[in-house]
Amino acid sequence: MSGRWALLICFCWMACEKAADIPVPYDGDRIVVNTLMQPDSLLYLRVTRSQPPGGSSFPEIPGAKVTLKAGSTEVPVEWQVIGGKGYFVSGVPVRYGFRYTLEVSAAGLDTVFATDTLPRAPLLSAPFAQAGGSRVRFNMRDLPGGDYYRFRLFQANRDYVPQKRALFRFDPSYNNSFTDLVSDTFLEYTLIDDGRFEGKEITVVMQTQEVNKAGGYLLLEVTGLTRAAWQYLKTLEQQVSNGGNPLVDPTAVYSNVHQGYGIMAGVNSAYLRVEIK
Amino acid sequence: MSLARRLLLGLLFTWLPLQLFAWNWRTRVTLSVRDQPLSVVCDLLEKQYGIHFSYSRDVVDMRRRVTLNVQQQPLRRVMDMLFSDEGIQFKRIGEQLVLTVKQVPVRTINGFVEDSRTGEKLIGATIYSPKLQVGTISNQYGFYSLTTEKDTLALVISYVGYEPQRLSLKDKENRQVNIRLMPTNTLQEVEVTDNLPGLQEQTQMSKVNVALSQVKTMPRMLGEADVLRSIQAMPGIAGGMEGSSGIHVRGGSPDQNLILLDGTPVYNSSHLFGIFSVFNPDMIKNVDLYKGAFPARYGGRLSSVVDISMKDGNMHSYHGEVSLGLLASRAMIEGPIIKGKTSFIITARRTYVDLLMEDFARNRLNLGEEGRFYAYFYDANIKINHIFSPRDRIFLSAYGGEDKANIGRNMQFDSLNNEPKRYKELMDFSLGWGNQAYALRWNHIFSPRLFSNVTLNYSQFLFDTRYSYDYQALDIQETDYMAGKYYSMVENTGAKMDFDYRPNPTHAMRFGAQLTFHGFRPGIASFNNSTDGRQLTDTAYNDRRNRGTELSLYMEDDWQIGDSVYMNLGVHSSAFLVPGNKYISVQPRLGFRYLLPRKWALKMSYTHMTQYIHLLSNNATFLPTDLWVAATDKVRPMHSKQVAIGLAKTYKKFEVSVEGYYKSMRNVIEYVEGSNFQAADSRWDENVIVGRGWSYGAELLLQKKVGTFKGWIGYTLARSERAFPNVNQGRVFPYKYDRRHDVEVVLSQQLGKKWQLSANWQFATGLPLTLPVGSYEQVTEPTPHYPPPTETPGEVDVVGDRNFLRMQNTHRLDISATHTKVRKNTAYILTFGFMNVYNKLNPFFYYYSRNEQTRERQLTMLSILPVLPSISYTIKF
Repeated sequence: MSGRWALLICFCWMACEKAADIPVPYDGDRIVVNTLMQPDSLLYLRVTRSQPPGGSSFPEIPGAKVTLKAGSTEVPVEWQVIGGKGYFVSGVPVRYGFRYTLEVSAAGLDTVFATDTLPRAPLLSAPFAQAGGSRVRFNMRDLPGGDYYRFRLFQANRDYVPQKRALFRFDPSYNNSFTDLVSDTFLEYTLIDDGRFEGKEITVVMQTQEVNKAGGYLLLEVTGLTRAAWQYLKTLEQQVSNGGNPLVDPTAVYSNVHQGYGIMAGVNSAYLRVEIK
Repeated sequence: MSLARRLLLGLLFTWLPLQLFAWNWRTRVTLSVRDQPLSVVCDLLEKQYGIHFSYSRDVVDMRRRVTLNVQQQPLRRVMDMLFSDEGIQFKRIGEQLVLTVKQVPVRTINGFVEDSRTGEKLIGATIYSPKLQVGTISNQYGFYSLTTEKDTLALVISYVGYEPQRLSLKDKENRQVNIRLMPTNTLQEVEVTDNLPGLQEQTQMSKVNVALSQVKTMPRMLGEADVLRSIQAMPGIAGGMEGSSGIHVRGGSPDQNLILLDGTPVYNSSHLFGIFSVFNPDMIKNVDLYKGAFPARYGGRLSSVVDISMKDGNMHSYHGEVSLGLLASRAMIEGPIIKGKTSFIITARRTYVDLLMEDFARNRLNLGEEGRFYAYFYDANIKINHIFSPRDRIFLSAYGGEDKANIGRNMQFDSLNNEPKRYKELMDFSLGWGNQAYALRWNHIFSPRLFSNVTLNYSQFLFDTRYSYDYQALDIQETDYMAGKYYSMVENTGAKMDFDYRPNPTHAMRFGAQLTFHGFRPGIASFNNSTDGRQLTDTAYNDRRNRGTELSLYMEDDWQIGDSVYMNLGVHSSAFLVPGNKYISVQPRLGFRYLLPRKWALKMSYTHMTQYIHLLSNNATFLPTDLWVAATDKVRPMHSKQVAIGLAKTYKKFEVSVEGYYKSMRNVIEYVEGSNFQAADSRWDENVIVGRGWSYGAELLLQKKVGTFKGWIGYTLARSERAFPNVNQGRVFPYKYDRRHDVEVVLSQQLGKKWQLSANWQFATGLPLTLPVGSYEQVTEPTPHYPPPTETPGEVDVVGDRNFLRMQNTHRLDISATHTKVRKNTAYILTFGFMNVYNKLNPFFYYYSRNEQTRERQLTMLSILPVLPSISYTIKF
């Protein structure tokens, strides 16, 4: 990966950009449904319209008809605006052990369908971070079977409510991103599968971009992902990181929404409270 | 008996012998035929004069056409006129004329053709008997063997760039004659000779050869002459992305090119991600590229064979060359170790941008006073050859090259992200890839007609990256140590025997066998990690080695069937053995040539090729991170069939050829969406899909190789397509290297003794392009109550069908001028030029760029080669 960027650096002094005029076909708007389902949390569903290539704002469809089922039981949803954005919010929390299905229809657009289950939560223990340091350490036990994880770190208040996303870099032993050490890159999240520690307990060290301050609080989040959630987040990460890179073909982002776009996938986060001492 | 009966009988006895029995050698014959086969002429004589001919059609070729117009000539003379020039002898037995093949005593002249000044063997020199109108060409070791009638008096030997030589043969015995040709002084007007071998005299088609002198005068990228970049300018060969030195032949992918350096495969032919080829032009003697009509001696790749021969080194005196360019410097030295018997040549090249940038990089990357920064490529060649006897010679050649980047940090910090914190970092990161290729070859002349070459070779491509990171906080107990490496390697060890047998002028046979052991290590990673003195990880992943054994046999015969009909009959059969599987392939290699009136040659070929190794890639171009793997049950070997038909002719100073071809491919692979080939584990074949491919088109080449004004015009009309079950709904779609039209004009003009001007203009229709066909909102959070991300989330682009759009057409003019000054046996050569003289902004890449203020996006075209000057300075001594 780093090699590709090295080439880009070589070329940047000679590169020149201009607006291109290539007519790109567009086959019309489709319904986009986006939701990551977290057990014991309400389900927040965004329903928007897709736009022609290059679009950057996406109209909501507040009048869409949404049918959400947990197993065979219909779950009521209602339209709410939160932080300036409209969501269909479930009337009851998402519960582990059910398959959720979704059907969304809107006038003039194809009806879309999506379904997924919920993954198991990661098993975390032994958090450690010291004042003046720039490391957060913890243990994670991986259960037998294929698992997918997302790691994030938040600066939190005394009640461990996340206040700000902390940037960090992950152990290259697990995600191969040793170029982050060279380029001094810190990220908001890391996605890995358990291919390198299947069924084992591992100790993970995250290097934080900021110095840990005495009396501070961090919230470590490790999220178990279903296969659909993993494919979506991983391909999304690839599409974003490869954007503008001429040496790779564009990555198609995974979608499990039939007749439309977006994702409906299960996630299951576990948290560790880290008090900086 | 009545008088009347006696008269009748008398007439009968007088007339019958005359008509039926009484022909003799003095019988007067009147005959007029025009371009008729001999068999028709014999039928006429039998009908008119009662002469019965007896011959075997298998032995005597009666299809040869003759033209004869005689009036009342004696029969013997007519027979002589008909048969003596056709190698047929006749004899009267009873009342029949028996025709047999005349046994002509023959002898064989053989030896090597070499440069008289350096002893360098010349590949493809023509050895020709004007009287008999038969000839041969020297093989890739400079060896020739010509079997002719014993009364051959003279041979003419010619080679482009050399004075033709006439060789008188006074005796009539077999002889070994080593021929030394004198190079034409390239600074003077090149003498044009009519003795150069014409295209119509070669059955081989779909072959490209670019003279090295032309390569060195063509416009250069950043001052670096590049043989592969020069070959891109020939029809049927495309360079792929703008600025790349890669070659894509007749719609094939780069991994389908067999690139041989002195007979040893080179897996990755480019430096700097494809910008320059790994072949130092100072080292190259000859380059042949086969786009189709593959000779049976080659195998293992689908789309092309690039056969590069390294120079042998000067046998008689020491010479050298030093060249300085904008990007790199080169040096070459050659000379005799034992004069006339052993010679050597050494070349080396290195870029030096990193040396100029080191201080800048050290500060920019916080590397510390003791930190280091290197980013360069280098390559080096060495070759030694020794003549043991007139019959035996060995060559030892070695190539090594690498692209390498190394960053080392050794620095103490007082703050982290603007917060006070004292810590020390030692970091070492290196990234490199490169080839090694070694060959040991032994030439032996068994007899004047049988030449052999035995080769032992080894080739390796290694991609290697490693890091170590040692962190220590100075005020608290906090330490980290991390180390890791990732590498992938492909290698092969081989042995082969090649024989070159020239039994007579109508046959030139080659046969041989090859055994190759392949080794693959597709993506091995190992890590070692400890923190605060505790060992966290120490492990290795995908640490496995795959092996495969390839055995191949081949035979080919360049056969002159008749005066106008030639065939190249060949077969290449191979077997590939991997644990649990074996694959066998028999590949016909057929060529045909028919001489048409006005010295045009009609050529046809039909060839099969098989490739047992695949390249895993999900990139838009060929990168060193791509992984070579062996065929498996799910992803079987690739096969191709190619048929080509064309016309060719050399007329005075010009060569013209036009060819059409159709190529089909099976078991080509494409990555599955979202797959990642950082390591090819045991299930890599689940990440690729297998499909089919087709390429077809027409190529036109008009070339002038001699004179002060040289160059060519090439035009390619082509289509290259692929179909995979899960790509574009299984429909046939354009392959990423598909270009519909490609025009190349390459011209060079010698001006006086010192100046040479060159220009290269190219036009090509745009490459296929994949662009998003829609966009939509993304989601990364299960609830809207998380703190906002550090960067505003972007969009998801809908990636539609692959390659359904086209980039804009491209065109560009490159020019260069070379000034040569010779003083006391030393040449001082200054080359300068401009790429893209009229600054055409050709597309390199398209993407949606964002205006960060408005957050709106716009389709944007990126161009990378504006007008670009180059300069290099060379001293040859």
